[in-house]
Amino acid sequence: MIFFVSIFVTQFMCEKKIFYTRFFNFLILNLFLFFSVYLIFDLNYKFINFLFCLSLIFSWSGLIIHLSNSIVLSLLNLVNKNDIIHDENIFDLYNQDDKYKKRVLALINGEYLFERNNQINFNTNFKNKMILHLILFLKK
Amino acid sequence: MIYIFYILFIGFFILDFFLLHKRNNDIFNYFQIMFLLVGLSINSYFISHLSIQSSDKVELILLSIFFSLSSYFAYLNILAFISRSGSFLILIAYFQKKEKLINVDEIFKIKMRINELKKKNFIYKKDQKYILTNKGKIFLKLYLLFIHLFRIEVVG
Repeated sequence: MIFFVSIFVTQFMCEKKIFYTRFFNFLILNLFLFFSVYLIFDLNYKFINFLFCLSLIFSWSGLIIHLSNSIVLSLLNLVNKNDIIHDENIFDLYNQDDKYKKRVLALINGEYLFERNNQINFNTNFKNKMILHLILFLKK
Repeated sequence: MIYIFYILFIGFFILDFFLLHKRNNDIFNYFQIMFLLVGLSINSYFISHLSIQSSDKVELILLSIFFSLSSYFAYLNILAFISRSGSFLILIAYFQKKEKLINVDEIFKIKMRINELKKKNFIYKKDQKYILTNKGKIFLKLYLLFIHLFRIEVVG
């Protein structure tokens, strides 16, 4: 129930944005609702329910981010819409440079990057630095 | 005692990540499925022999099944992001102030993804033209349905 309320709020009531730019809102909303329910009702197996809540948060986020970012699924859509004879046609139709700009813009909107004097830089706040250090550690 | 399953499950993901994924970069392997099935079976057997009410046993078994499936799905997604996400590569480049070295081909890897579409049987070539297989059509329909239903903005 908590999970569905969070999905409803973030997917249907929020402005249409890239999910990973509002992942933290989704996470905080979910945890806030979980602890509210935890305080109001006497839940059985609280720790297990909490782990289940966390796993749902991450699986849902993963699905939405995957659908939003999937290049494979975008290419599939492209093949379906167009008569593609050679692989080169896919390159032309996909337009990597345009997609790159779109991703950078999404990262700017998500406040991971910022633009000043026509120069794009990394937004070095605590949250972003932590995320980047985590990614770098996992990617090593 | 009922928490042991959850601790082992999370521990397994950590081990799988550092011992298997880091070594060969595979996202999915059959060892994961085997662990999931064996872990769930042992846990269900253990819960069914606990001296608690039947309704509690059912609740605990269902919780363990739903938890396993959703956390496994989340784990696979995390692995996919770490090894393939183009946005992560862009972010890392800006974070390390190496944005001028960004190679767009490296981020999108279009050729590799086209081969993936062929290999996974999503598309095939007929009369010099790419056509979607039934599997490809089903995945595309689900993809478009989710995109519209949940108002997802596509950047991929």
